[in-house]
Amino acid sequence: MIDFKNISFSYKNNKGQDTHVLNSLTFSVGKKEIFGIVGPSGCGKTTILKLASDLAPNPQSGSIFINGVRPEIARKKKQVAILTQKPVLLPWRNVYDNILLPVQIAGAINKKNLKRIDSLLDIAGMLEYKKYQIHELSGGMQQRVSLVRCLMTKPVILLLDEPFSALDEILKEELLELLQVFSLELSLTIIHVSHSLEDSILFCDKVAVLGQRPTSVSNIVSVSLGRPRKFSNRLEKVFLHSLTELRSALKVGVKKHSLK
Amino acid sequence: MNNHFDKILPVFILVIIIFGWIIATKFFSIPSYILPSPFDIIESANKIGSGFWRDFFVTFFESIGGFFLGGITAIFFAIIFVHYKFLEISFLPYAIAMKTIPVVAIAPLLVIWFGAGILPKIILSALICFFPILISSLKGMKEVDPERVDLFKSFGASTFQTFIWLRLPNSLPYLFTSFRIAVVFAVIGAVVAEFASANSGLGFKIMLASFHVDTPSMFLYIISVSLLSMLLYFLVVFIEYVTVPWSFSLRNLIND
Repeated sequence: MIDFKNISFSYKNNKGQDTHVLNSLTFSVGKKEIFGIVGPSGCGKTTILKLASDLAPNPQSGSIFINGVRPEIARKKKQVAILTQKPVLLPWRNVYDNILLPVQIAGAINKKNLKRIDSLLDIAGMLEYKKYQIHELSGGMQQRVSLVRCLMTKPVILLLDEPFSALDEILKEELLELLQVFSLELSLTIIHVSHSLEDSILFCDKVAVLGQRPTSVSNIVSVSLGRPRKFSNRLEKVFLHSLTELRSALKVGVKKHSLK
Repeated sequence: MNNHFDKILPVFILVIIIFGWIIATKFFSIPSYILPSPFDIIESANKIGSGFWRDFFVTFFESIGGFFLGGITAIFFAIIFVHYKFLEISFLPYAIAMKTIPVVAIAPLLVIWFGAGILPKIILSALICFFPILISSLKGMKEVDPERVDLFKSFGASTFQTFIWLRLPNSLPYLFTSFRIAVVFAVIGAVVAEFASANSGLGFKIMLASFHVDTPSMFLYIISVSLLSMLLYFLVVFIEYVTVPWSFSLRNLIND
């Protein structure tokens, strides 16, 4: 479904020097899988999502395939949607009009799509807020609106860039629940990027561990918790075992890169 | 409680100033041609009568005309500059240079070119409004959150769609900030142009009153110019409140 093969990526910084971010990065994500990526801050996690969504320049070497096609084709086919840490909403539009935006851009305002807005808002528990202005919503509500808007283009792949990090525990659990509902109902394949090991284990089926820059995958940890997952799962042995495994994999990954 | 006191305080200060002004002119026997008392100004207003409103509206329309002409031209150039970088590089220095020319110096030239009618006043007002609106609209159209640009890109938006649904609304708070400044400048431009050549308007009447050493009338017209500026300023604030309410709420959030 998603294949990153030997990706090397660097960009020029403000001083014109090359900053090497990714080095022979390779991983695969299967259909309907929730795949986590963890690593130290600034290691290039967001860059991976930008490459997958065609929001970054092409990598210097390697190949990326999204659902069998290159990222630019996948973007044009609207197969990929990205949800960022900070909800990127337009304050001059209300909730409904924010969600309508991708449909407007595609010139596809029709009964079916308008109905889809209502049904997605309903699942997200936001239907009664559809006429609200953005500043009237809490951070968690804004994140849910952002998520619903992502799903308006009917993507098959959802990229999540630290979606839980700005939320408190209660909102985090609500979003976790909602993401699981959407992933199941819409058969989504998800890549979830985070620096939080707990969030990653709680949400993902597999978690790839990255080292320091220039980064590559140093290990992949499988999480065998059942679904739907809740915060109470954090007390389970399986969760704690996966957490320990992931923590030590991360330490090893960082060490390996330091020695290099 | 504190908030109410903050609002009353400026009014209270105004009352004190007017009271002090009346006392000073009475007790120090200052002649009215040097400093007229508020009563002299009211008396002068009564003498002038309804003819005052004719001059008031002449300056009002000149200012509004200049504001719209300058604003529309500035926004047009900002749109061009945002989309064609080489045009911005070529022309922006001249727009900045234009700002350095004092309006008082241009006014007589405009009278030669466009006659003594309303046109040179509108043009001078437009010139003075042009620069702040151009710079603000350029800033507003350019300084878009890169994540929002990425969002539009990920939805496959065209340049036109990104402009209409992102860059333009994003520039509105910047634009209204410049409108607040420019609308006051527009009144200054109209008044200065009337100094150069006119047969009506508040600026013309200030000049006329100065020739006749009619200081109470001068005060009346100067205060009227200030009130006109304030009226237009609050009109812009009101339009901003109605059309860009989210900008107001953002500003309140920042102030909090």
